[in-house]
Amino acid sequence: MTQDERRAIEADCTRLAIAYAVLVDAWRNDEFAALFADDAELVVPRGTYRGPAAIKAAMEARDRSFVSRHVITTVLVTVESPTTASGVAYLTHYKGAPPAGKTVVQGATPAAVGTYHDRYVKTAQGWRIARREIVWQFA
Amino acid sequence: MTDDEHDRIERACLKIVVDCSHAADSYRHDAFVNLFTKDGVLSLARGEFRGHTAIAAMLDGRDRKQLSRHVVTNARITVQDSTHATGIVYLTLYKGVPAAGDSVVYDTAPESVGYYEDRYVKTADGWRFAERRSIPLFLRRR
Repeated sequence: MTQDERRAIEADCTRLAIAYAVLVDAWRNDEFAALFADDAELVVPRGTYRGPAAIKAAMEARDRSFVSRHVITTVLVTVESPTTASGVAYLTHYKGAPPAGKTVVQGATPAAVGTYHDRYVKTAQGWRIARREIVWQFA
Repeated sequence: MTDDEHDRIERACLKIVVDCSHAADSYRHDAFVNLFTKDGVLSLARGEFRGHTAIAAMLDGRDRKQLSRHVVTNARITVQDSTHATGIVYLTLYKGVPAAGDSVVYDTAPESVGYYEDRYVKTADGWRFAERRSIPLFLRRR
């Protein structure tokens, strides 16, 4: 693998790590589900979900009175082969329900801080998340 | 558009996103203003500022004793064509005024957490903000 190929894979996987957060926070559930490989596994506190359809259903079942921001930093992608990579990313999670009629939540303390453990795979459609699991360190 | 072109645009937009935080936090107002197009719009909770003169006046009105860090993350840039792009960028804002004689604010709670909706445009001088709209979602409890 050339240095350019490796950098391109790192960039693609980093984009996935961030797209996950931006799309889930914006309730863009179709685009969110499309980030995952057909047999992908998502392990989050609400449960473990397999495949884009189950992942999308789980996201749609969320309580819409809450707003969230999944703040992603410290993304480290390790390219394993031309078609597989692994990664870790730190999550600072903000979540809350604005008062009735408001769009802003009172309080800016994180609900939790943790680490995503990721696996990425190259599919016929491009790079996708093969597995993502959150492990909390502060909650 | 080639992948290389796409990546170059993405990097150029990411660079002005980062520059904007550093310029704001270090009170480099000329540098900040020059990240916007001549008629660029900066929309904040306190109002909307259009063009270099209005943006500079807003910046010059800030209390220079105040320390801030505009921590930007989650930049997701969408390239539209060779001269236009949009972006979503998350902001965790820390700000406060140190006690007299101190250089540090002894309080680490964020002032707010939210996001920017950005429009970028390529000008003769490079990529600039055509519009930057700040949307707070979480505000420090007082």
